[in-house]
Amino acid sequence: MSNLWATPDAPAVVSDAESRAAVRALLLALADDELIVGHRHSEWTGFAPDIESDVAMSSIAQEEIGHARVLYDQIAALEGTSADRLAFGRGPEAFRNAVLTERPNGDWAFSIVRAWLYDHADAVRLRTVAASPLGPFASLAKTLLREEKYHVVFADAWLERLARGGDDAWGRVQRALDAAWPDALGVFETTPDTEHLVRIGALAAGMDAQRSRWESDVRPRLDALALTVPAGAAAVVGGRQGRHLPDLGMLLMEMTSVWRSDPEARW
Amino acid sequence: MGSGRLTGWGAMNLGTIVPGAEHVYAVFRQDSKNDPHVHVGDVHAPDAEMALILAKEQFARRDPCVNLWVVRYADIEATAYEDADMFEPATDKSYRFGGSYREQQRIYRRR
Amino acid sequence: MVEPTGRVDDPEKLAAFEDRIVGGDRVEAGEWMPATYRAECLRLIQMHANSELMGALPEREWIPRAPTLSRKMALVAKVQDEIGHAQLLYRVAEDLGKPRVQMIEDLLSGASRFHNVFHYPAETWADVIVIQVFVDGAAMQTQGSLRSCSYAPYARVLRRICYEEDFHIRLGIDGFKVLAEGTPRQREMLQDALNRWWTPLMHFFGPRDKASPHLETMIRWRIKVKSNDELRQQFLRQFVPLIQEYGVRVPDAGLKWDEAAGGYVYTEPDWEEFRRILRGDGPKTRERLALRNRVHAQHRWVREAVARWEVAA
Repeated sequence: MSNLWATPDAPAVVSDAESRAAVRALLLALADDELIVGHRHSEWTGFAPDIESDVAMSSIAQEEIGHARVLYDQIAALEGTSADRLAFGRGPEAFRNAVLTERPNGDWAFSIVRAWLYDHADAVRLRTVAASPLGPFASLAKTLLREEKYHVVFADAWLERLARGGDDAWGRVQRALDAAWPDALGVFETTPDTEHLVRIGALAAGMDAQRSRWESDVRPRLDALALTVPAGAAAVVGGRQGRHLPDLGMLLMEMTSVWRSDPEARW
Repeated sequence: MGSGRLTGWGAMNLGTIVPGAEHVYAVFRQDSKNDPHVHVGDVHAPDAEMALILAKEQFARRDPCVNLWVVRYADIEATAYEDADMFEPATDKSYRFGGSYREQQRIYRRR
Repeated sequence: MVEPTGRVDDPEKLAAFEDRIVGGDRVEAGEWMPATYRAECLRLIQMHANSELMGALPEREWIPRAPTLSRKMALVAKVQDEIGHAQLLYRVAEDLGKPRVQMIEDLLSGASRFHNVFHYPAETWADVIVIQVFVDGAAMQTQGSLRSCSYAPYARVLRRICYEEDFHIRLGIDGFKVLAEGTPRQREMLQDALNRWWTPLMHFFGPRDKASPHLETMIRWRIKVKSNDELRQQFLRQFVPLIQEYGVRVPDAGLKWDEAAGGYVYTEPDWEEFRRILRGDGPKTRERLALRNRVHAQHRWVREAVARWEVAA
């Protein structure tokens, strides 16, 4: 894919350095989310509850990592680096993913609930960018939505079958939701960059508005499954500013171990 | 005639071959519009919707696809191979082939 | 013919069956087949399916550590293909009369087997590459030859399996070249991996075939198409030149091309190690089965939830 910053229809809104930095921050948050959640999904490969779901989850993992790569490529084009260096060459304090994505997989209930909350959030986020005056970045978001559609369908289907699979399964789903909901709110963490993008009209909806949209998607589905969200939960924020759990540090240590053995080598 | 049928042939429900046929689904993929749906394999699934979802990745991750069908093996009726001889014409049917017996032979030659 | 089960196949039906097979005909799932034919196909296909499922284990350990985004996605895709192959193969085996859930239980309990190569550790990234070229390459010899086997459902899925395996080998060779032409540490890692995998690879096709009535029947019934030695020679002919081309050492000093014999001569590997694996005593056998059992137990509540959903739906 070509460098979208340099195309003839590159949005006028990114003609100044501050706006470019804000778009870069948006892309980085998206890319880091996709890489980390994709990495977590890939940990299920070979270990999913049934053979067919194993195959499906593996596709979802590949797609999320693929989305990360496409987004990193755009940032790399701006700065003269590479997607691999962005993925493998930064420490946890430089990552801008939401904490929701770095939580360990836990059991199938937690992984499905996390994926479900994340995929619905990602859909809202991508639709917002797709509808924005960000030119080729809007088109890119629209392209990614094609694969994200399946992620939502897969998560919706599994959530329903678990929540309606008897009291034990429902209980596990409810506990997973209790744990993951505050993290999920944190996906919509507002930052100075997102506020800047709203101010210059590059994003039609800020993070609060996107979060409302997401809640209107997910709450009715949860109601239908007799699931409740923790009342008055505070969003777990900080991910967009580089404040992470020890989980991310451990994930990155493992993920980068071979790459770090020789960052200049070809693999 | 243990199957209870009065017809004297070997036609069967595929549930007699496939264990747990209630939850095994035959998958049919249509590569693009105007193509027929083709049987590409099967999935184990708790229900038809999940069968479609799982079939997408098991049977359409490398192949073009615009549409999928799934059918439970418990719902599939099939002829028996021991009755395959029924399908072979016994006499000249060139009237079906524009008067050409060679065309009939070409089609029915064993592969 | 008196079957191991004691059931006697109708001699007329058996004779007609043999004539058909010798004449090149195929067998489909719903057809009558001799009890031994059914049992042998089931054993073979089940073992193949088990191997795909167990084969995923050494490689999936490296998914979290794949050193580029490209290799990461490719490795997930490759292991996905193996799981997908298990799916296809269990489905074929099922119609011979054994539910998938039963076959998985037999694998987990150690009652049924999986190929020798999957009882070994994958110690480094180079092991992943070696597996992708040489283990998949070895499997391809057998799978390729069995595309002409008489049991049609198996022959059909083998066509797809070979098509996908071909992609794995190509990508594996690409990874092999990168390491062989890489830094001294990378070259050393590759050589070390190949050194450790050589004996398991030489064991892969099994010991030299001994003539027996059983083997003759398998060949006559086209359940076995090529001999163990033929397949091993095919494998060596395909991969020894590749190893040598990239300046990697073949880990058997006694291996050389013998013009008169029309094949490779090599140092006979230690078959006791292979027999230990058949007894369930490979380097990683117990650990991997224990891991699979743990995961299976962890998901019991999911299976129960799905069963309840199935009833309600």
